[in-house]
Amino acid sequence: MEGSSTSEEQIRGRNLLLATDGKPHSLKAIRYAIEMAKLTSSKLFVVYVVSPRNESEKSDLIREGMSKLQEIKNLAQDNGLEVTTLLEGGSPYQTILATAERTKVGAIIVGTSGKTALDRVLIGSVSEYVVRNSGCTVIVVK
Amino acid sequence: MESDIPPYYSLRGKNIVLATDGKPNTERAMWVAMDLAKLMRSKLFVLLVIDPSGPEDRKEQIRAGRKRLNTIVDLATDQGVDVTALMEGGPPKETIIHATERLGAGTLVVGTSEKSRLDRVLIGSVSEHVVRNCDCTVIVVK
Repeated sequence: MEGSSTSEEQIRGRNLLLATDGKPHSLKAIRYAIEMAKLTSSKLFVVYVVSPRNESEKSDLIREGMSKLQEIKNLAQDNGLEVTTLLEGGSPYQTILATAERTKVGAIIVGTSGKTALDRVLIGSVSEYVVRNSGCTVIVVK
Repeated sequence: MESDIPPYYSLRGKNIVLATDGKPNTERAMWVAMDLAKLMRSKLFVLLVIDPSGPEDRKEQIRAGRKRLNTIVDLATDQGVDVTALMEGGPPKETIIHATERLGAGTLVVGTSEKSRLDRVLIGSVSEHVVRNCDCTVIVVK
């Protein structure tokens, strides 16, 4: 027993952080996060990480990110949620964890790769990194 | 960009499997699983895995496991959750994954232990394995 912990403290009303890059594998996680925030009466934070490899692709990636975040924000608000979107630059690995700490969320929601080995290496590794190193609960949506 | 987010993702009614080794550090995972079962109006299956390769005395493990399962079932029942307890013997990773498939689980809830943090480098933790290999959504409770 962890002191006086009850089920109420664990999920409901704790903020949720959706980490997304807008790629197909994370689309389901977006919908899941919205439904989960509704169900648990949680505030939803959405972080989109841009990791430009060079200066020339930077502005395109930022524009893409802003547009995706706006789409998610609209959808969340249509569902009656309080939502905060964050566009961050850097490595997805550390940025997701740093954002989770800053926003003091109860859980991080991430999508996951498909079934191919290449997908797993490229995308799945972020989920695994987050599961391994996060200080808070992680929901890996499939 | 328009609406590639799926229009619907039902969180309700899909079976939830809580996998536990019965150790005290999985307490929080238990509360999360129960709370979700209530919110999602889902059936909760509590799976306690006895690892025959472990150093503990088998009879004692089974006795302690049964006691632990009874406690969880009582708590869940008190909260109006439809709960079923299962005790299975085998390697934890494979046993958990087979159970989620057999039970048609929509969500698997697992805890993390200090031990797994230490052992991780050598054998990889159960939670990372299920995140990678499970077909359903996985919630790793910390």
